[in-house]
Amino acid sequence: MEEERHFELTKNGKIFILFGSLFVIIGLAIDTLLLIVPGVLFLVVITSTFISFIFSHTYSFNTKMSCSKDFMRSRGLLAVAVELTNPSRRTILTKISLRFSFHFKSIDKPETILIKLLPQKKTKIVWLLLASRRGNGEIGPIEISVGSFQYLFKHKRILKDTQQIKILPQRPRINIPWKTKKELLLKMVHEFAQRVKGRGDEFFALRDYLPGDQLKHIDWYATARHDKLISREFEDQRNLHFLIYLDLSSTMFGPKFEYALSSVVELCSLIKGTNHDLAVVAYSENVQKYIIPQVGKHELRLMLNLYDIEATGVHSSFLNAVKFTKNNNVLHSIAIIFSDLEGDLVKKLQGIHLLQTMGSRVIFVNFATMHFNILSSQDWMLDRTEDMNYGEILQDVFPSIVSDEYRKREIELRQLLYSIRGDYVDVFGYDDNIILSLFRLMKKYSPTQRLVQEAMRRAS
Amino acid sequence: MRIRDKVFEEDWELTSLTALGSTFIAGAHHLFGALAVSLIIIQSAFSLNIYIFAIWLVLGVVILMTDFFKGTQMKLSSEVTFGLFFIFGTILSLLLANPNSMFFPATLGRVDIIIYQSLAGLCIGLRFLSTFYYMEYLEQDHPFVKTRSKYTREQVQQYKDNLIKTDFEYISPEGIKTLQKWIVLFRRMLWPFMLLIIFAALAALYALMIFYLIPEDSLAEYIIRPSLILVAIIYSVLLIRTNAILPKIVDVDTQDNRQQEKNSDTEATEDGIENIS
Repeated sequence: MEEERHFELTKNGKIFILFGSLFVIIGLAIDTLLLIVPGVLFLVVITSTFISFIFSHTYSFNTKMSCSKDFMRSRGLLAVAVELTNPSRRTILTKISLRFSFHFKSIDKPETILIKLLPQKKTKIVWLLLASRRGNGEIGPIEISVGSFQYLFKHKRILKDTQQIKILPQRPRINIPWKTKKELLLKMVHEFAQRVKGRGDEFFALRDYLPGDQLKHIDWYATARHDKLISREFEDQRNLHFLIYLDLSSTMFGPKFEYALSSVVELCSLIKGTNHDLAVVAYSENVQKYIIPQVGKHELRLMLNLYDIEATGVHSSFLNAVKFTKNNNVLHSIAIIFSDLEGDLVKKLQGIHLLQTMGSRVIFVNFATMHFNILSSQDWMLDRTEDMNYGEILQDVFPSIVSDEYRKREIELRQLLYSIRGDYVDVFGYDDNIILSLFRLMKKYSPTQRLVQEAMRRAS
Repeated sequence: MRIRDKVFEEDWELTSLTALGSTFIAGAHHLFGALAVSLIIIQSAFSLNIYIFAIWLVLGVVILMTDFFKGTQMKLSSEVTFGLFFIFGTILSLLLANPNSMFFPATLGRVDIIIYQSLAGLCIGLRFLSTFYYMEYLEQDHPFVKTRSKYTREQVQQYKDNLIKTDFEYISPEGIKTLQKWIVLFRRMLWPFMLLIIFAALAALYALMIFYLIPEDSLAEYIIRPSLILVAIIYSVLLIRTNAILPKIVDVDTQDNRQQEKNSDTEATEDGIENIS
């Protein structure tokens, strides 16, 4: 790494040299220890900086800096690790400061830290940074102050290693009140449900009066218009059966799984508030856990059961999970799958097919790996590879291969889902909310939107 | 205040480092200044010198007031003004001194006056030293943000947890204790002290040699002191010349920072427009 060395007597230092000599000279001239003592002290302090420079100007440090991400969103967090090695045989007390552009702010720790570097040992410091502004941020250089009294005598090593980090604008923060969430869910459910006539409050259609219909159901305006008795029909109030599949395979492991699980818990607790039924199937190769929520005071148990789930499987087979629901006659009208595009896609497609034949509406929620994992940084992967040549090749080629593969898989899955009236939802990182994503999806299918789309199609 | 700033402030609290010793050092800094002045005042009271008493009373009040108004904020420039004040006061009281006061040139031989002078000088020196120490280790110019709302607290905690067993596992290195800082400070001053003592000893040796060769008080007076003064001048010139010889690099950082600040302002307005649209 390129190193720049700064040795400079600052303006303050020069002033204090003059001050010291002035104090001493005046003190000696007028016989006053009152001025001689502080004057001597100034000179001592200044001299100490020179001495420390003579002793420490040969020090050099091996430094390595790495950032956890190359691009991020505003209000996102970034970890910067700095590894310092002290190759000399002396313990060095240094002040280390990480310089970064105005886009970042350090969390819980000032950017300047005073530490002791033990001889021939590695010291690692990790800074957590908050991206407070969007734009092209820059991390680095690292400044190492050697020796004391930097205000009088600047003695610094500047390690000119900088890293560019792109900070995209922040996603709008999702902070939906509980009540609104519930309303959204109810609307969504209403949209998804197949409407069946029967006893209920919601109006369904008008039809001719048949003997036996209640008098209060006769629509008198319609009767007057058509000159015959016409009665109203109502929609049946039916409970929907939500079935949530949660993938426990190794590809979901890590922060992504935690987020998926928290999304499941959020959705479950919302659905519990309505009069719809709910079941959760957590599967890896086989079904690991099947949770039917309890009523009333046992509701808490559902939550606790959910939080027990851990991503333990290596591979996952969605087909086996669907077979389980089929064999056990689990009722379901809306199946929501929390998974990703990794692993065996064919089994997922087969499972979705099977679900569709059982007459359920399928929503596939993809927790996009590239947006969730810290693995998305190339540095992180490179550290693990020992062969550098291979690493370089990996750095150039791997990301594009991965993203191409993901795109291909997504297209395949979308084609199948749309052919069976299913839906596909992407969750991009922690800023996305599952309820909001589902609601956005629902809006796409709402009657008004559909009319608009049809009109557009006709116009084109 | 813009809405987004307010939102930011709800989540994050802008703080700066408050070390345990910082208030103590600031207090000691004020105390030593006041002590130096009060020593002079007490001495002038004993010597029945009303002029010096009055001068230092006024100076003491001025110094104390400026110190207290600045609080825990210390700057080297304010210390320079303090030093100049002191020189000014000394010269003024030199003109008005009586034979009993500590500013009278011929009273160097008296033990009590030497004690008073050296104590006051030590107090001034310690005051300056505490400023250096404060600037070095406890300066509160390193801002960082702390979590304030529950959302951000969870966000940071979650992020830290996710980094476990990676290269970025969150580590906060152990800081250095206050006592250790002081030890380091004094240890670093050990060498220069010895160097200075050697210088002074050589000067004194030279002076003594002259004193024994010419055992005349007046001649010694004319040779010892000028030689010490010469040593001080030569030493300071030496220091400045040494600095000129050393290789140094022009600091470009400050200009960059200024430019960055300008950029941040324009950036902010762009952001705002985008948000509205």
